[in-house]
Amino acid sequence: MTTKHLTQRQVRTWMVRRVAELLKVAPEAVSPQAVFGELGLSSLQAVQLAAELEEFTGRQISATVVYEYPTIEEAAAYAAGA
Amino acid sequence: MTTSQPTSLLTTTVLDRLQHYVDQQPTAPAFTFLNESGGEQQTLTYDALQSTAHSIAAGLRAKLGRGDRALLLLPEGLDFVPAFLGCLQAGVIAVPAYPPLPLHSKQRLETLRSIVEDCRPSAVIVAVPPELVDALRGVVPELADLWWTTVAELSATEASGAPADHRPGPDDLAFLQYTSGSTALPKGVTVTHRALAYNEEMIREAFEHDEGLTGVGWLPLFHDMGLIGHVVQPLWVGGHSILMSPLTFIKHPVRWLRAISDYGATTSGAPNFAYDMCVNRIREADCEGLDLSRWKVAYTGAEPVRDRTLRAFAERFSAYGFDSAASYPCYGLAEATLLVTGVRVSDEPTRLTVDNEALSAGRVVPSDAGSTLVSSGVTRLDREVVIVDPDTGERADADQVGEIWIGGPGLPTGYWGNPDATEETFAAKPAGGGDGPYLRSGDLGFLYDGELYITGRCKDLIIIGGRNHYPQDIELTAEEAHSALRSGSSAAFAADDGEAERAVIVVGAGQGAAGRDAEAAAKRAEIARSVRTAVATVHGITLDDVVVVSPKTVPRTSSGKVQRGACRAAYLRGEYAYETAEPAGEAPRESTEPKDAP
Repeated sequence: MTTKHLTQRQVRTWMVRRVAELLKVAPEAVSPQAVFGELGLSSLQAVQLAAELEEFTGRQISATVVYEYPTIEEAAAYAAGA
Repeated sequence: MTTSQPTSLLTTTVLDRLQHYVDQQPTAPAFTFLNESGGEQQTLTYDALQSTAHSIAAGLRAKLGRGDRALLLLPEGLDFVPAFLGCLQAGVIAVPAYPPLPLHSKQRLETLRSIVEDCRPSAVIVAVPPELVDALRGVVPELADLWWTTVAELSATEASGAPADHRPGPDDLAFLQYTSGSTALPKGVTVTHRALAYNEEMIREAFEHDEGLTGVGWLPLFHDMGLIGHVVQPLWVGGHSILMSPLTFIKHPVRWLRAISDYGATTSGAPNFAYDMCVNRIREADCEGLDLSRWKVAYTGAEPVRDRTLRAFAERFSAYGFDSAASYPCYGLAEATLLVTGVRVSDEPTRLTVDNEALSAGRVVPSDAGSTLVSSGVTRLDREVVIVDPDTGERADADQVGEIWIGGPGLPTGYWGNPDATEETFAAKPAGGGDGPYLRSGDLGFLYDGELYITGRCKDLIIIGGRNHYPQDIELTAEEAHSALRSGSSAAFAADDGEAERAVIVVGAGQGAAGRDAEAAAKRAEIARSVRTAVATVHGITLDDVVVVSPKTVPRTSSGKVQRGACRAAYLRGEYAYETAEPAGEAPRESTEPKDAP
């Protein structure tokens, strides 16, 4: 796996779009500061998101990332290696 | 296909079988655990497993008496297996439970607290880091004062001379299986050694297992399918079980198939949703070199078996050697230990197309057009299945849909500490006939050509991702989610369109939410959002539809109790249609399953 150099902002933008797709809502409805559970993400979707994040960033991402970093903002910072 | 039977099935326990294989094949691998990337993390041979289990039993016996309960909070890894066997060898009743991690999952914590209150364990065996143990003790006060121990600590105990000094009898309790009941009222199925042995032998016969069994499993081990199928069955036949965490599969579904391919697994299975996930999320590029040709039993159970799923999976993976005749629909429930019926190995699953209109009226009329149902197969040994008219309690006619009742020897004895529920569920007798007692499954189905077909259920359950959710739990969460919602005026139910089970809730709301103007529509959208969020947070599921209505339109009985069945019927007839119209940007969700791969 090759680690890509992505900024926290790039990861955050990607996550907002992906969460919006998973939840079938507009990206504007997804707040980067909201806790994942509050966004309506199911536990299966949360693990799927971790897998996709791993691929997007090229970094190892734990399956429980959304519990350890409960908002998009925090998870993006972690995934970008900030 | 037949393995040698050391002693009669009536007195053999799983511990006898384990000892038999420890003597016969001490260095053969019994369990292998794969890490998240699919690499081998740990393997236990029969010998090593037995010696660890003996030490654990000795450690438990030092502090506990026979019949005491030990809670097993062991997430992924191989600690679970010797801990479970150690309990059985010590005569301590094992209580496998879901480790409530992450700790802020409110529903898992509540479930655990209710289980603890119900079975009053004396010990907790955990395998989590010490800081998490402290956190757990903090959030589950009922557990704080119990004896907390780990597999490492217990297995450091010197096993004193002779192996287990307790040889359980067939009527002794082996473990409690908590998979039934709502969060507030969990029910622990009392599984005796006889019931466990009987079911393992049924599975062996139905799945045609022998010492050559190589199984792959990622189902949680505290769940009946994982425990009976992936832990005890391999020991019963002397096979090798490859285990991985559920998270490994959900994160990368291909790792399941990869493990089956790498180890040449002959048996592996999961609920229907997992096969859908493979079709939808595995990319062609990740399948290179996959060889599924040795996979003989791809069992599917615990959720309705969909013809569409079976076909899509077989079509997609036949290029990698998957044989469509390996698809193995089966039916079971924790109250029956696990397996009740299963199809025949190496036959294509039987399909039956029936007339839809007749079926909704409870009659089975084979037809060229209609719903295609997949057979769940036949019983084995002396297991018996009868169909009972849920209204009259009498044996149903041959072409009639009714409740599935299960009879014969070797069934669990009831629910722990709950004689009323035990009497109601485990001691049923058909009206007008003297036979029985039967176990009431709560599931609806019919027999056709001697094979069992499942059509639905009489109990109000919502099954998503193989997990049972009780509507009363979801309704309570929803009603607390918004101030416009009133207590006792919502109905959660599963709406099955034949393709998938959709989770729907109809909530009765005040504050002008039921009006026809834009303001009311905005209010409804706001309420729906709150309900979705709360249900996802507490239960970990995404509702497919949230319908906000006037409390008056939620059907009730004369005593004011919400009628979920009538509400579902009204919903399916489209009676709430205008109220489901949400403003743009709030498109109703189609599924809780992540279908859209990137």
